Amino acid sequence: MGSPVEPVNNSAVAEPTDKELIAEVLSGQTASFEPLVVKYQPRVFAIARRYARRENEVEDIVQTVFLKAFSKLSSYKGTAPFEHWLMRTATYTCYDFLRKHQRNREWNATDLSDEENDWFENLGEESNAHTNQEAARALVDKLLDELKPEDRHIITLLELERKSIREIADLTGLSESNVKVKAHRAREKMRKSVDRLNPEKYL
Amino acid sequence: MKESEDILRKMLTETREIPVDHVPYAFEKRIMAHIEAAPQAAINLWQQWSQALWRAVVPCLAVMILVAVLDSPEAAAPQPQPAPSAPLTAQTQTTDEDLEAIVMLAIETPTLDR
Repeated sequence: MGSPVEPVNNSAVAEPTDKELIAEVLSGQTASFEPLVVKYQPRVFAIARRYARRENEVEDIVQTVFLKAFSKLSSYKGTAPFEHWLMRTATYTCYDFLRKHQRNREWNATDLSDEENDWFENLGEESNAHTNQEAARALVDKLLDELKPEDRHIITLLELERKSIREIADLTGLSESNVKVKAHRAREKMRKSVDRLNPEKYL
Repeated sequence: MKESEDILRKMLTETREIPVDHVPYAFEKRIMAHIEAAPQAAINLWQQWSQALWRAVVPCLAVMILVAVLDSPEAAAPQPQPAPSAPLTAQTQTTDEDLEAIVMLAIETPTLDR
């Protein structure tokens, strides 16, 4: 068998496109999947970290996304960019994770850690003052824990990933008006949870 | 209400600003190892299937021999049975006819004398 590794075109440094890599994978060259993983894994990690807090859970999600993508690569039609197809797979996998790890726990001000309490205390300070982003993230996680998986999914896409209503409707299969209603209700619930969690309210 | 809305917005903004796209060292190697292990698993499945088939050979042969042994006297026994029964009835029929002829002859002889 002849080796297809030798460059055919003049530009020796030209990297193969996604389509070329996918074609190679589908023809049996499994190793051609690695450049795709290297290229897109930061984005998949970013999505997974919006849904899971523990790093081992995040890694499991990312691994599942790429294994799914590899096994279903033949179903990729090539009409949309591969990145879109992969991110859609990632979003579905994250939603599956949410449904399996549904918490629905209600948090109270007494459940807050010292860092989270400090975050509320430092709210009145100047905007450029040092704030603990990790504490903010932990608080957002607590608020999201109280939402149903579907609402959490919508809020994550809307508020953390900054997707448009249309994109969310496309990803979730809901109508745009339904997404708007669900997002509004979920946000309202989060706002009430902020009131409940805020220790300043009880001083 | 306004206050809690502002707090929520601040919380979400700060959460968004956290960099979340860092990748553990050589994570792609882990993915590729899983992918390359997958076809091996398929091969192992075939191996397991063929091993199971080989293991089934001995019990299948044993059952086959057992059935053959149990079946052979049954197959031999009914065949000789109908064979003697048919000539026996024929034989009994002929003896009955002979006896009838003798009796008829015995009855008819006195009338001849007359």
